[in-house]
Amino acid sequence: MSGERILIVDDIDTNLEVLQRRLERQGYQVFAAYHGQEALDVLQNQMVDLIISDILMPVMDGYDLCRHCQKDERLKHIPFLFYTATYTDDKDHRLGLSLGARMFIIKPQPRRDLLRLIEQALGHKASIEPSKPSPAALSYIAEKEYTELHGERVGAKLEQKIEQLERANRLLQKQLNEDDKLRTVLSESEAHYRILSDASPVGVYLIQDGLLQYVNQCLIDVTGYTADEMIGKMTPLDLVTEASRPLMIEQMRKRLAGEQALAHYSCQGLTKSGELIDFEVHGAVVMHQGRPALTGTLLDVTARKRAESELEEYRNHLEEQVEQRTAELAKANEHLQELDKLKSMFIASMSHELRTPMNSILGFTDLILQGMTGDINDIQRDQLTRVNRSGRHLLALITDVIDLSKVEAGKVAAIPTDFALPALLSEVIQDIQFEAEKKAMVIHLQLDEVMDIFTDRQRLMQCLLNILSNAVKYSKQGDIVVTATKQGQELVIDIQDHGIGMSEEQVSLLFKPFVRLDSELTVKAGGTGLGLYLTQKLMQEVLDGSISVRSQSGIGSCFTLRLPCHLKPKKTNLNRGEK
Amino acid sequence: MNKTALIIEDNPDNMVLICFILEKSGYHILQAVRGEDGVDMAVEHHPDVIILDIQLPDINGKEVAKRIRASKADAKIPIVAMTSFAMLGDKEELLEAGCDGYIEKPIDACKVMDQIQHVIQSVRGCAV
Repeated sequence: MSGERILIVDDIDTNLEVLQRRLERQGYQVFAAYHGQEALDVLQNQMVDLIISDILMPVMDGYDLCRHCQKDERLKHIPFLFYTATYTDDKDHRLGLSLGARMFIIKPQPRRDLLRLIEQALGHKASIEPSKPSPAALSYIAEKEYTELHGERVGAKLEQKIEQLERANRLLQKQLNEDDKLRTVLSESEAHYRILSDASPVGVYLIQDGLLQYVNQCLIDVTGYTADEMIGKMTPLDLVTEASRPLMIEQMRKRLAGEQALAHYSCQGLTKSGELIDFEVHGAVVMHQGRPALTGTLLDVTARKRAESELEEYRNHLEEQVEQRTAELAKANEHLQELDKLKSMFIASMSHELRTPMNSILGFTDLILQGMTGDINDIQRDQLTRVNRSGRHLLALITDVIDLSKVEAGKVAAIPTDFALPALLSEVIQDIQFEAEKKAMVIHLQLDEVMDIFTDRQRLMQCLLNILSNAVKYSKQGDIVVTATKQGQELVIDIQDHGIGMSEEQVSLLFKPFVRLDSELTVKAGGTGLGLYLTQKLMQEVLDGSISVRSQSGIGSCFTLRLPCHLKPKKTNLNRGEK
Repeated sequence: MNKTALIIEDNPDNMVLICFILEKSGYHILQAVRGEDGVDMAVEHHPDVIILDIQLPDINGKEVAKRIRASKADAKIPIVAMTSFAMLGDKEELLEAGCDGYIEKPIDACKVMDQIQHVIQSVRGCAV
């Protein structure tokens, strides 16, 4: 580089420094001045090759400096550049050039462009040296005209500056107002937060530099420490047991480092009085006084944990109880099954053991009463008749009780067969005929058709015998009518007598066990009190049917047996069953 | 010649009762208390009728009937089962075992001889 000298004029330090450094880096020798007057002072002692000047400056502005230089024979050949950020109007441009300036450059310019322009200006100097009067300079701009133009430009610039300042001022004012508002909102928000925090049933903390910087009332209550004891003196680790510290340290470190930390974690707390409590910690990172801090909540879950463990214990206990109870029940069930088996065996053996002695009691009295062993007198006959009758009664009781216990134990399963109902009815009537004839009673059988039926013949016969023998027993006279009809899917057998009949009250007691209705015939009839009860059980539980009765005291009773009719009746002309 | 009846019965009272009734009807009586003895006597004496109790101290009546039917004894000897073991299905089992008839205890002293005669007739196909 040539080491050419450049004078730069600017009232702002930074502008001067930046430009000076740039130019010096290019090898130029740089002189600086703060305003026009100072520039002229510099030029008194120091010749330069180029002047770069700002316009708006105190004491003497750029326009005046340029004009002075152009007037001075010694200085007027130095190329003059305006370099400005504020005088950007076309009129400024024109005024500048009319004063003899070589160039009018608008700030900012890219560094390279600026340097190129500077080189260009220095080149002009070489080409025009030795100096000639600048083109039309003085003649072109008269003193008066310059003063007017200059005044106008400076005035315009000042107005612009004032306007800018006012705008800046208004902006500042506005910002101040907003700051005020912001401060109010902030302090209100802070107050809200404090109230919320202190009223919270959850512990709230703030930790910075490893120490507690804020604790709310709840945390004070839970830990037993005062705020003074904690704030700025204790670390959060002082609030938990040794065992919980590694987890807490790890979580706090991760949070501060911005790593993935747990949303919440449990740890065991230790109060001032040494009591153990269960905490659940929810943490977060916040800025506090411009630096990161840890905040969050501490939830005392001691009661919950205790309740949970009690519940768990209770549940276990309950399960244990259930298991124990189940085992007991299983054992009881086993025992019951054994008892049930024993009962069945008991019933079976009773059936044999009780009936066997009856064989000789009834057999021998029968023989004697028949006269097969020789003559007996009337008193002996009367007494033996009583023994025989009691024996028959006892046998009937034994038979009924055994039958009943079998039905009640569910040991009687129906063994259904296909058979003709009329034949069965005839058989039953035949059995009872002897007793009926004693009372001069006739048993009528009325059937419209031969009906086949599919049911347990033996059990149905037992029921029919029971009802029919009752009809004979409890009648003094009058015929008995047995009717069988088919009604829909049911077979209906009516047994109508003209006996003593029953009152409504008596009917209601009829099917109860060991109930014997009071009447003059009751004693003579010698029933067991189980017959109808057993018949009803057999009808309902074994034969899937039912038994019902209609009766009028003194007129007679009608017993009705209903059975499901599984087979269709066969029409026939024969009334085989009729007597 | 007197007709012979073999009575197999372990209850002494019942034995006396049925013996008396049969003797009255002119039967010569053979008695067995145990089932196996009954089988032996049936083979040895060829009775005209056998009255068989079902519950016996050694083998039960069903077994007795089966053994008699399997023995050299006359295949046509009527066997009348007599029992209070009146459970359902018993009757069928007894007939299957070889019995010809079945009389339920307690017996009716007036009717029992008729019942026995009825069984004998059904086997022999004629009046005895």
